[in-house]
Amino acid sequence: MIVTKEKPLEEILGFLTPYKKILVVGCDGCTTPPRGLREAKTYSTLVEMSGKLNNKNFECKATTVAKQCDNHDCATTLTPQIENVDAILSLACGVGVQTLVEVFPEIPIYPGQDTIFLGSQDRDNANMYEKCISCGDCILDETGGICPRTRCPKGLLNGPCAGHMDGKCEVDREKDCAWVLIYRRMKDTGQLDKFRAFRKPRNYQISTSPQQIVWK
Amino acid sequence: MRKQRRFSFARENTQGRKMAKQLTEQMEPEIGVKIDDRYCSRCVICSSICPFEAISRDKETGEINLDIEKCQVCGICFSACPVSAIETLYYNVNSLISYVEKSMRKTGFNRLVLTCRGTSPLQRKTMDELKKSGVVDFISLRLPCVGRVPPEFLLKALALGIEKIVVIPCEEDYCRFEKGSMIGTRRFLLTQALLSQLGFSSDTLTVIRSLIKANINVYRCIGCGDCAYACPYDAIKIVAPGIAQINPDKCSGCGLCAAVCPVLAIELEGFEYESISQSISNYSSLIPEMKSKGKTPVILVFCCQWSEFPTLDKNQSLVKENVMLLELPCSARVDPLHILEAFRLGFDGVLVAACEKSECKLEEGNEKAEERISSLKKLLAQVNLENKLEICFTSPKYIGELDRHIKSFIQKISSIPETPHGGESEK
Amino acid sequence: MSFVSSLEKSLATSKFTITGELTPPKSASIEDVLDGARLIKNDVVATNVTDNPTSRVVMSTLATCHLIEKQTGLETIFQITCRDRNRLALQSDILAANALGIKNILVLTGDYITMGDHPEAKPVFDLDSVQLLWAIKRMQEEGLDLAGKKLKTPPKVFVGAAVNPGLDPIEPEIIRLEKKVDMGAKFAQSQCLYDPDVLEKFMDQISHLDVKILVGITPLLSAGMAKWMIKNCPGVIIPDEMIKRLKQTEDKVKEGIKMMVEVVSKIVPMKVAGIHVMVPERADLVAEMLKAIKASGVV
Repeated sequence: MIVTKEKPLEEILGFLTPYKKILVVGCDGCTTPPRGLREAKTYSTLVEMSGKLNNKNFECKATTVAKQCDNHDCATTLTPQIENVDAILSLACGVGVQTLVEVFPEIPIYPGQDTIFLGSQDRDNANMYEKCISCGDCILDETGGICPRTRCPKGLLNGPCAGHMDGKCEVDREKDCAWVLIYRRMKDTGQLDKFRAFRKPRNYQISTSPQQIVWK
Repeated sequence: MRKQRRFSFARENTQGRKMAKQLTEQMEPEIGVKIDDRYCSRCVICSSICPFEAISRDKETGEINLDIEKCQVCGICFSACPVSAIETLYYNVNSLISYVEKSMRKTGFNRLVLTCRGTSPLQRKTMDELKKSGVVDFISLRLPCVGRVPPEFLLKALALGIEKIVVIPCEEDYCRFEKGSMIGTRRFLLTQALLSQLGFSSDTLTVIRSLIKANINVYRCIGCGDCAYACPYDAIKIVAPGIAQINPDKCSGCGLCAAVCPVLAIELEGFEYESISQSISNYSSLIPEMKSKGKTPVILVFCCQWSEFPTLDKNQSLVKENVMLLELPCSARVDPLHILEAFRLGFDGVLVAACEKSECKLEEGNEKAEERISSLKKLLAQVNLENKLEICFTSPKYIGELDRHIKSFIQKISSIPETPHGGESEK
Repeated sequence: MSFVSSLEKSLATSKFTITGELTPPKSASIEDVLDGARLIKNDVVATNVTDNPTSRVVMSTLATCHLIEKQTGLETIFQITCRDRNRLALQSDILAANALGIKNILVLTGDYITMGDHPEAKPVFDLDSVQLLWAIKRMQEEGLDLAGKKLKTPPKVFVGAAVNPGLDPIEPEIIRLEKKVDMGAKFAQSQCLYDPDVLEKFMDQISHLDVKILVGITPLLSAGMAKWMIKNCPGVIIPDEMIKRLKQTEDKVKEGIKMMVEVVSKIVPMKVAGIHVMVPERADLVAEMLKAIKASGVV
């Protein structure tokens, strides 16, 4: 899932100040937590109330799109709703915001969220964990299914460094040292020879941004 | 220890109630159920029938004692006691009969519909079911549990001139007081048999079982799984990509799923999102008038319908002039969007009344509500409203508890300076 | 036999080698570190010069090493971390070091950026320490850079790495040391050691490796410092007895130094190649420690 975090209301108000009629657009797509109609209505109300606190009279309306990264979906769902809209507050990830800009270039579009990582959800602990940095060169076969590019802050490929303590990372003692996890897993599954192997430096060229592929 | 004064808790004794209220502020709280040892026959029917094991027999003295801490004020003991030795503040026979009598005089109707809170929101669903069975123009009596109604009430009602009684209890598995529905229904069916022996027509007394449930609109569902994870009864499963399905046999109508769904795809029968919004909107239209009369701050209370039992005229006694009450099947149903709406429409404060910690009738719904309120407060802090929202925990076993919470909440927010946050009632 | 540096020579021929450590100044003037260099000059074979230690900005190691060597004649060990430079800059620095006459390189991964005074900076870590060792090996042995391009003149340097004998689990650290030795590390300096038993066990576990071990020696200056290190420094194991002695004594620095002399005497017979004396930012205490070891005659 793409994990996003709400921007502080103060910041959102900062860029909505010049406008009056705001359309708050949620996204029912893949963000975690989902930022659908409920979130759109919440922000629609909060922006209005916040505006009143600052002597601004916003008129907000809430709506949602199945996937804001799909330009066709955006166009068909939102075109009937954008008449007289001065600005759009998008609650999608960064991809959704930019897609809306392409579909409605004449309307100012603003992000209501910060997109933070690709991660998994642990409902019991109410936590989201970053798991993948989309490097384009997956080595999970060599590391027992644990990604060191993501889970080691230094991105070491011949880890661990000498900073681990009680199996935790020197950068954040609340987090596991990815390489200790990899070592233990490789040992338990009889793959220590893979652990011993020398891994060459990462090829950054393949992930030069912005990337693009052909998709039929 | 001061001797407990004996009060008659009949509804028409306003003097007694006033005194009870004054005394509750000075003494320990008055409790909602009492066993009068003078009349008790020590038959221990109450003890064996109590679903919560709150009544016990003292081994030495033989006296029957009620442990108010375990008591859930369901009233089953009250209705089961063969010698009327148990007093209850709420809905005892005299007060119920008096209510029926007054209503008959006012409306001229001679049909009585007795519903359990668990089955009948005050809205359409009951009406629709009754219309289907051809019952219109009736007196509606809504009780926390039909298990508290002794047969003598039904007979007295018939004696007053009521011609048709319809009782709508919850499905047995979903009775919030464990046995209330089962005991009540058995009693009604026995009474039905008795009535037919006495020559009454067969449709004088009808029993219809019902329950409110949640429904998912699959066209809106995105299959995120939040409802499935949140459901305390494990009643929801994701059965296909983008489709969550509720198992009606397990659903208990608490409404938690409706409050968490990120795309508002779930509705709870009788407590639909729009109908609650409409109620809030209707209430809010009264705000300008109230404020012009100096009745401020204006509070909206989302009240779990099990957390307190107001007397039948609740809108007078419980609802003070600046308090409006909105009942929900469980505090878990409280939707943050509704709270935001309330503030936007001009309410000065919102109070959520949930059941006491260990007493939630719907599996820790009150804990979930507490978490939700705490998250919402963080959001509200960004518009200076975090102190205008509160959750309180109350129980019907202590008289006037909710009153006290409301009072102290009003006091608290009165001392916070007002900030403009919206509402058409703004000058 | 020809040696690249005095350090290599000492490690190959003498029974015990001592190295020290200096921190470059947070300053544009080299003067601020030269006194420290002069203080320890006669008691060490070579000194490490740290590289933006704990991610704090100081004068670059390359310049510091060069100026120390030129102005005091003290041989330096160029500590190079992977935190601040990508593979291009790292290779450039190796070539530059060689050109400036710096002969010893210590390859490290580096502390993470958030530990220091510029926590918002971008951490590089384009290579890790093993990969950097490999790059240097290629340069030296094959005369090629990482892209496989020929170097006009390959560098000739004496390369080492770091090791931490007190880590738990220890096996990955040993595997990593094996990789480092494979990639050309000839010596390894260890994290500071206080418990000789830990070292003995470690030396046993690496007996199959052809690498010279220099044991890290850092005198404890107080019980508080000891407790802080146990809490924050991975692999640092301090016997309770030491902490007790520090609590009970008046002159803690003296006692701390005394205790380390005792540790050194215990580790001498363990086939270690020598010791590496380090006290961050305190060249004066490094000098005192060195003097105490010399005076004790344990080496």
